[in-house]
Amino acid sequence: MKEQSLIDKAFLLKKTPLFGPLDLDMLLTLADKMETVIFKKGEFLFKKGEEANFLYVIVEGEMTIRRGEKTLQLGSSEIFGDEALLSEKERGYDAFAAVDTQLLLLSDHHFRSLLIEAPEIMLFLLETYASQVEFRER
Amino acid sequence: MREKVRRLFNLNPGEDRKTAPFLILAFLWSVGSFGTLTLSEGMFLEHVGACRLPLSYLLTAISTIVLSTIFLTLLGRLAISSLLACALIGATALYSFFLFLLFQGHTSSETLWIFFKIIGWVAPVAINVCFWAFIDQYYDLQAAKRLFCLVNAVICLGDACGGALISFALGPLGIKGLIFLFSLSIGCSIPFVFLILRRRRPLGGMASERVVEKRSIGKLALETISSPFTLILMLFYFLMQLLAITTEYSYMDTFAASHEVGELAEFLGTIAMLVSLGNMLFGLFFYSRTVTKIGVNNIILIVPLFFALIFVSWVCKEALPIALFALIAREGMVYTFDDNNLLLLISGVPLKIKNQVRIAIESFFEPIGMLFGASLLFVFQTHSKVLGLLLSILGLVLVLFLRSHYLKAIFHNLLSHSLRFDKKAIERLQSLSKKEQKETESALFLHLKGSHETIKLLSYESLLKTENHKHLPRLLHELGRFSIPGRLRAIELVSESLFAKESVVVEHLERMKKRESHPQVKSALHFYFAKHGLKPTDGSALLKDLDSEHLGVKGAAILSLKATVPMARAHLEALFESKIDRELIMGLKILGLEKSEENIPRFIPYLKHPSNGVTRAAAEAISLSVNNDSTLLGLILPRLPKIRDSQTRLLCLAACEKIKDSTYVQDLILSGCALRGYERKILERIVLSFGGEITFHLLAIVKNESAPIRSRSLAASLLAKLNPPEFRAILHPLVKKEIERAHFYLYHAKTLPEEQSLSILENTLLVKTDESLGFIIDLLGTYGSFEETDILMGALKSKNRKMRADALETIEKMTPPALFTLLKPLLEENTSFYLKLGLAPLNLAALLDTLEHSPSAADRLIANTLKMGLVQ
Repeated sequence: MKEQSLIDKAFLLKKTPLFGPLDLDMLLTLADKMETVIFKKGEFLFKKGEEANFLYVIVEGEMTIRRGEKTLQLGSSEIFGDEALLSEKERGYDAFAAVDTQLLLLSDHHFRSLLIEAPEIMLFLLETYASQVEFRER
Repeated sequence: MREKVRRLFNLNPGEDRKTAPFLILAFLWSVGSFGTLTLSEGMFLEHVGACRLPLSYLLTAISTIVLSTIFLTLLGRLAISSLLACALIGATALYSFFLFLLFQGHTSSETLWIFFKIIGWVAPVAINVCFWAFIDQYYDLQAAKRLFCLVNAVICLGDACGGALISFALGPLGIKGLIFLFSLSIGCSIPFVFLILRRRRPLGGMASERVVEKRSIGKLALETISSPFTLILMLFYFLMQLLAITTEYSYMDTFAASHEVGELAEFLGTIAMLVSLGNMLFGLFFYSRTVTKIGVNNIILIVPLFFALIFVSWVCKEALPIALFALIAREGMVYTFDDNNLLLLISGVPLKIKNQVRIAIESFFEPIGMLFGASLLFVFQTHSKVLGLLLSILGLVLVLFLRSHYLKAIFHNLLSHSLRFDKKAIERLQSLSKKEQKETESALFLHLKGSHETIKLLSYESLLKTENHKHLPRLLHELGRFSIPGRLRAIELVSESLFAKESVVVEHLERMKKRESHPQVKSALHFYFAKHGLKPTDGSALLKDLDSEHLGVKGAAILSLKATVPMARAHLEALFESKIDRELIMGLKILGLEKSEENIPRFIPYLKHPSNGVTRAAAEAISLSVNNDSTLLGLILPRLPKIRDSQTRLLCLAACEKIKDSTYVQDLILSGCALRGYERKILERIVLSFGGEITFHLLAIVKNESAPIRSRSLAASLLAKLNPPEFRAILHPLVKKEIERAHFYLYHAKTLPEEQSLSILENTLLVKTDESLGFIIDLLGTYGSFEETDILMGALKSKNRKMRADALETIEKMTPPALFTLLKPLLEENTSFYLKLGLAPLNLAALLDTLEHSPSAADRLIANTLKMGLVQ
């Protein structure tokens, strides 16, 4: 798999709905901090109940998200792993590579720094989560 | 009982269980590998002789260099755990092969014993470096201070057991039996690697173990050179290698002269056992307490001092006790102190090259040191003690340098690990090497040819920002390949670039305007020419254009005629009255191009417009129009904290920068509380340009308890730059007061009665605690000459334990000891310390009364609200 340059990473992030609103300055800064990992087909990235440390962006390949009986396939430029970072809960699902997959990692610490610097990201997440919740339990 | 044992070894609750697998792993491999090492040394002396030691050093050095190169290459490709497993399996295989050779009856061959000495040395080095890279993933710096010495002690125990086995079992079992036992011991350690992988997660998560980062040797070298601390660290440990070889040669020479052949192996085995036992006891019980007490900065002085003392004595007098002390220094203190010190000092190495530096020091420098040492010993064989003395003095000098750079290195790591939006894209692109710039530009052109329009525009913008004339023809050619919205955006980007008025650009756009059929694009080009004053058109045509339905055409006509034709002015006013954002933006752009300060009050209200496009256009118009009328600052600054859009804020700051009036410094700093990253740098630049005359204002803000904390921090940082003595004078009382305030908030937050209605009060008090703590850390960081101290607070609150530990280490080292005694309980959230300070605990009513009279508006609001709620 081709190693991503700084520009490649920044442009990949630009394609995602979460990081799309960011300007070039912020995208390059973010891309500079994101590391690349490769997982072979079948390898688990994380399992349900594990501590959440990263948000992931798929560069190349495919990830399977499994929650009970339900599975979901995610492909290039898709993001996952953000939910547990905000809730500070453990992972609510398993994630494993359906094929050899290259991912970008954004650590929890950097994610929180980004939310402070770019409130539009926080707004996007709020809108996304709100659209999936009919009633907020108290 | 368990509790007592835990306290004896200075462990936190639960750490004993978590560390046990690492300890067992360490013990098993160290028995096998260090036992073989000692055995190989003894066998070498018995079968080959001390005179051939330099040769063995040379061959060992070459073998270790080759092995280290292999490890460095594999580091970016394999997980650390895989490397460790390979090292353990490799060692087992090599020992088994040697055993096979022994069984074949080659015992009289010198080559065999040289080979044995080589593998006896290489295997423990390889396993040791992989083991520490492996374990480092699981512990942060603060835990490392307590636990790594314990692990090291267990390794020494293993070494001692290996020595004991040689001492007592060499006779009964023979060399073959011992080698078999040692191989078995290493083999048994391998399953523990997988057990740890299964049961524990590295601090950065499993994914952090899989990071792919291929680095060329050149890039590694560049990153190493850019870190003075890393350079000095590597130099120091290289020097310690030379010193170790010189010391070993010196005492081996003495021992060989004073013992019979056949007794040497047993003698060395006994000494190794005793020294290792000493290492173990010190590591188990004293190192962690010592380093906590005197700090890393001071503990690193011990070994070079000890070596210097030994060699001073040795140069004066040749004696067996001195040789024994030298052995203790070489086999004992180097492992007890230097090895443990390295495990802590390595935290100062940039994270991206940490493992590479570890390999370089532990397995690369060792053979290089051996090579150099061997070469030096060939020349100075009879003057080895003098050589040792010179090397130990040099070691002392280097360690003093290390002391002075350690804290900055840790902070630099925190800085490099944090996300800072303080660099523009152009700065980042220009900081790349020539090769990387070329590769980046090729990648950008490739993306420009892609199908994703957003990415194409981003590539276009990036290439324009490189300000490279060579790209212009290609960029102009690409203009026509965008969609209509893309083309409009690209024209805007060219208009904002420094190529806007270039003849080649103007000519291309003129041809484009003639060919172009889409009215929006044509109108944008119209406006482009009018804006840049490029192409005046005849008046009658322009008059007709005033009524054009195309905004760009209309805008161009207004721009050209507004000075002379009243109707143009009327059309301009109509744009300002429009509800359509595009028209409003056009009006702002046109009026902004007048560059008249009189227009600025007109632009100001648009800074709070809901559309970012409008606010940016207003801010740009202000920035173009401002000259040096300082009363305008009074209009801009109150609005600055309320502006949501970063680009708008930057443009407003650019406007403020043009006005040189220091009387507004307080307003500038107070309005800058919401600024971040690059914006804050600009604000600092503005304030610093006023010079020392504003010290009084800065002091006022720092001491003003009702001012926003961020403004106070900013004022303190600027005061420290402009008037350091003034800053130092107020630091201690200010920090002490803030610490007491923070303890007040923390204590009362944690001791509130548990009622639902008080949760808001609890949250407020906790937020205030963090605010005060943040301010304290900012002040202390400024005192320690650190920029960007806000990352320390961010790191303290981070989930990443390594970052928290590094932040704690930095805070501890940068804080004067008297203040750290007060600060430490706050960092540990120790509420009982509030009472030890002699401060009075308040009941709820008194607490609310205190908050009601607080200088902070938020405190007063919460107190009043709760009081009303309680009354009801």
